[in-house]
Parts: sequence; structure tokens; C-alpha cells
Amino acid sequence: MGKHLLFFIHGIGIHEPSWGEELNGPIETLKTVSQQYAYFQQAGQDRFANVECISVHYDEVFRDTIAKWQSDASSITAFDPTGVFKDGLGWLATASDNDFWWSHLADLAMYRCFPLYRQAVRISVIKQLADAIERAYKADESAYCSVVAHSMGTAVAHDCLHLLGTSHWADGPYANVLAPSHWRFQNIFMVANTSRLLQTQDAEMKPAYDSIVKPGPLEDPKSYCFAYWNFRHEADPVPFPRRFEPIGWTNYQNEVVRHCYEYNVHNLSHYLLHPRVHIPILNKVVAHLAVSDQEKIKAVDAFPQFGGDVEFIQKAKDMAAQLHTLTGEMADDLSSLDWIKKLLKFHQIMETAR
Amino acid sequence: MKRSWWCVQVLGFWALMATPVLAFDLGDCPTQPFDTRAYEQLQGRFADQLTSNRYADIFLALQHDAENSTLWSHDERAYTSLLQALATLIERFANFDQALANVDDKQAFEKFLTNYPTGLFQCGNRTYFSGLPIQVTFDELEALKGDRAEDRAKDFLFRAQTVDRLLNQMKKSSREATIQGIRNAAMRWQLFLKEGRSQYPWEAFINGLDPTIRPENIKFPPSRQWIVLHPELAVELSTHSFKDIRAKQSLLVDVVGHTFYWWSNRDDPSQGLSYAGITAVASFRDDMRPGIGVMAHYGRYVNGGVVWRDSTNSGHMFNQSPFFVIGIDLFRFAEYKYPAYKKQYEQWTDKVQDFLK
Repeated sequence: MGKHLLFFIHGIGIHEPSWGEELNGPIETLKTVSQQYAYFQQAGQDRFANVECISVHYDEVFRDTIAKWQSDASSITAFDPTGVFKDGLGWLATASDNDFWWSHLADLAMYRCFPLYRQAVRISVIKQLADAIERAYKADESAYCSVVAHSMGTAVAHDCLHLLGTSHWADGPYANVLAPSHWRFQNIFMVANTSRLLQTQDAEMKPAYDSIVKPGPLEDPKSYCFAYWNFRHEADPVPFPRRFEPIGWTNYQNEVVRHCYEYNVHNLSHYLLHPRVHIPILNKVVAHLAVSDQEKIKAVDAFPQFGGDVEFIQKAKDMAAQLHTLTGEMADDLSSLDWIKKLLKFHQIMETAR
Repeated sequence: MKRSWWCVQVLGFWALMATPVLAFDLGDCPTQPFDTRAYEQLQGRFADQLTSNRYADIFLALQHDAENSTLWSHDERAYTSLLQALATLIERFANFDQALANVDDKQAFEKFLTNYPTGLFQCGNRTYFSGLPIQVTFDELEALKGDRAEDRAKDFLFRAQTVDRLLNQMKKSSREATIQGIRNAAMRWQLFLKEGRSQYPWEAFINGLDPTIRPENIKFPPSRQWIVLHPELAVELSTHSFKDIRAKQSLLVDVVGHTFYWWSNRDDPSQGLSYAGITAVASFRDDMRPGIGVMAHYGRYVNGGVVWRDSTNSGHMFNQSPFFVIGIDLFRFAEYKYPAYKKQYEQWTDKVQDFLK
């Protein structure tokens, strides 16, 4: 059997090309948490040998663009013979990843408000998916692929999968054999799902509930995966407005978690700590029943809401209470501007708790 | 001692019960490549049919093989589902235009793939024919009972997987064309963003608002763009005489303009992206009042134009000789080449003067 390809698609923030494999990153976290289950404890057995984790990376589109803006603007401010533009372009000339706005919110703004960069991100991701799929086919005449996407990455994943399966790609009279009537993804795991919140009116796109990114029967041209998993944290304000709650989908599972093991409850690795999140991934991607039902019940039952040292737990409880208040204030139809304000507030609560 | 031995027996029993006798997983390949049912073996057995694209014949033969299998009692659900799926496939392939395939196999495949799905044998989450009435789960296969239950389960998986791999083999050229199309699209975007005319955030935003420019087709970046309030460094050259050129740095603002893009070959973006455009500009210097003019650009480095200034405060901007203005990159290039050109120019004028004398 060929390897099961597991694509990790990141959210906002700074991400290097190998972001998935980084220390405390999602791949390491998944491997670490798996060690608590019997199947993964057998000595000399690499249970992930049949899984190829692929870190999909699109942050460079934003970083290159911002770097270009910064470089163009600073060349103007540095050599402006009149001094007129020094103030006007200063904000752009000093753009830096050290600033939360440029490292995080700018990604969101550029994806949501700039079709140019949105499409550039999409094609970059689609190419990475296609390259890996082609590699799998060359090796084994088959490709088993699943996706783990996080935060804004869920919207990116949604858009890219829809385009991958519905566009006519070949520069000639060739059919798209990666369309759902010919091939489909195995599982889609959406963590802190924003695909409905960030859906666009682009001509080739469809709203999150109407697109092909949903589970469905084989060869169905309107669905593109066998199973869809949606994970949401109760205190995470990111996936709160325009929450992803489809009706009537088969092979769809929604899991709500409320644990607090680090200050950033929105972090993908933090989500993966919860057995309700990592067990479906392990069972669907690594091996069927790698974690037995009994082990799952035990693991969920033995997983306290707060973890860490006493000092952290006390702070985390206060922070969780504030985050619950914050999410309680968020309406489902929150405007984009209000949502960004809430995200800034979320950032502020986290930083204060630290 | 007796008690502990009893405990070991009980634990052993439960351990055996907990582990299914058969445990298949997604894509398991339970038999060997030398098995006559193996995909690898079929390459030799059906070499002629594969060469002449007679997939319908291959699937018909595979259906006969399955029907003649002695492993199954012919009313078992997994078995009947497999036969039904093969029958569905054969029914679809009855519409494959073999006559066209003999002349143009690519066109025949594309016609078929456009009209008929081919994902029927893709295994998804331990299920074949997922979501269809003939769906067969691995749990069902693991629960098969009677003689040679394991062989039957493996037989099902093996035949289904072989058909899937054959279908994937059939789609190879289409898949390669699809992936090449994606790579070409990615390269177009990469070239556009890296080599195209740079846009400040407000320009990218404005271009995104124009429905005639918005990149609605993911395969192609925009073919034109607005230039709006785009500052850039430039150099103004006095136009009195070539021999006595005076250069002065200025700040140009492309107030409004347009850029047009074209590909040397749309289907092969590696052959290059070119662009050209024109903008109305305002020019600022620290020693003179602002000027206005027009600037043309071609590609990234070639840009030049003229700017008029009211250098004598007469109130008549266009009565005076305009300044040539060139982009800073072009100026740096010219500056590097200028001594050589100046020498050539002087040698040439000396020769002309000598000749005239």
C-alpha cells in the first residue's frame, strides 16, 4: 500500500516551509500524544511509517508581498528628495513580522479583501497538493489523502479543494481526473473552522455549505471526501461568528472541546492535545482502531479541562473565564471589523494572562 | 499457582477476542504481486489490450474471472456487490468510443472521462462503493464466516484494488495533463507576482474592486491593472544637449495609469511574461516646483517619459522644454554604461567634424 498523505494547512501567523515538523508543532504533538495508546507503544514499531505528513505552506505569498511593499516604500522614504512621503509611507516602510498586525492580521486582511493575493495563495496550495498526489500515484497507482487544516487554513483548504475538484486545469481537452467523480479525499479535519466566515463571492467559488467540500457517496460530483470532522474550542473566538454547523451531512462529525493547557487555546497543537481531536485523526489516518473505543472513553474521561502547573492552572482559569465572556458577546453575524476587534481583544487577554 | 494460570488463560482469551482475526486497513494489499489476480500480473496478461486501450475487454475478463471464482457462495453480499460494481463499470465502458480510440486514444479517453465517472473502485475509510447501495465495509469482510473466510475477504480486496489501479493507469495521461495545468497556473501567478509591475496595497485593493480586472479564473492572473498613486524614484535629465546632460533625482507619483500584460505562450508560461503601460505622473524635486507629465513603461526596467515644469515661475508650464525622466533602475543601468556611450559619442562627433573639415 502507498502511504496515506496527510496534508497540514496552517492558519495565520509566521510559518516556515517545514512548520508542521517544528518542535511542538502539530506533527510532533500528534506523535507524542499517540504514545499514550497501546498500539503506539510497541517497541521497534514506527506506527507512522505509512503516513506521510506534508506541511503545506502559503505564508510566503504574504511575506513576499509585505517585504516588497516594505522595500518599495522604504526606498521612497529614504530617498524622497521632498520629504513629502516620509510620513505617508512610514507605516509601510516599517512593516515587520515582529508586529502582530503584520504577522497575523495582515494575512487575514490580504486573504479576505485582496482577490489577487487570495488567488495566489490558493494556487500555491493547490500546486503543493497536486505535486504530492502525483508523487503518490507515480509510486503506487493510487493516492490516499487527508487534510488537517487550522483556522484561516480551513478557509484556504476549503477554497483550494473546491477549485482542485471543479476547475478545468489542463491546457487542452483533458478532463479533470482529480474531480470528485473520479477521485476524492479520504478525511477532512477542520480545526477552528473559518471556511464559512471567510467564504467569498468569487466567480469560481461557492459558499461553504454549497461547495463540494463535504462528505458524500462515491463518484458524487457534489462532494469531495468520505468523511468530514469539525473541531471547535468553546473559548476560541476565531471560529465563533458564522459558525460551521451544517445540517443533514452524513459522515460528518462535530467535536467541541474546552481544555486549557496553554495560553493560546487557538493553537493547532493545543487542539491536538485533546483526545476528542487526535483520536479520530489517528484512527482514520494511522490505522483503523489504533485507539480502541475503550481507550478513547478512558482517555477522554481522564483528560482534565486544565493542565500544567498550579500557577498556570490558576491563570488559565481566569483567562478561560474572560474568553468565555468574550465569546459570549460574539453574535453569529458579527461584522468583519467587530470580529477583528474581538481577535485583538483575544490576543490582549492571552498576553495579559502570560 | 492454579489461580494465576487461570488468570493467564482468561487474559489470553480476552486478548484474542479483542483482536479481530482479520484486520484489514485502507489500501491493504493482501496478496503478492505474483498472484494471477495481481495488478502486476495483469500488465502481462492484458498487454495487447492495454496497448490498444481496450479497457472494456480487460474489465469484462476480470468480471468473468470473478464470476468463475470457486471461493464464494454466489449469494454473499460482498461478492454480489463486487460483481455489480464490475457490471456497472462494463456498462459504462460500452460507451467508450473504441473506433475513435484506434485513431486518437487521447480524445477517446477525454470524451469518456468527461461523460462517465471512474471513481467507483476508490476505497474510502475502509469502505468500497461508499455511500452506494452496494457498499461493502471492511467490517463486513472481517466478519465473513465459513470456509476460507479470510481468503474470500482478501479476494474481494485484491480484485477491487486491482480494478482501481487499472482505472488509475487508464487516467494517467489525463492526470498528468491536469497536474501540468496546475503547475503552469502556479508558474503564471509566480511570474506575475515576482516579475509583474509592483502594486502598493491600495492599488491591489482597487484592482480587486474592478470586476473587469479581478482574477476570477484561478488559472490566469489579471491581464491588466490600474496604477494609482504609485510613488517611485526617478531621475530627471535636462534636455538641452546630449553632451551636457544634467541628472537630478526626483520623486515621481504615477497618479493614474494602466498596465497591460501578455504571455509569450499562454500554455507555456516559462517562455515569459511581458507588460507595458502608460501613466500620468506628477514629479517632485527639492529645487523646483512640482511638474506634471506622462511616463511609459515596458517591463520592469525600461520606463521613461517627459515632465513639464514651470521652472521660471512664469505660469506657463508647457512653454518650456520638458525634462526627460527615466526610472531609477534604468538610470542606474545607464549610469553604468554612460562613460562608454559618452566616449563613443565623442569619438563619433570628432570623426564627423574631421570629415567636415
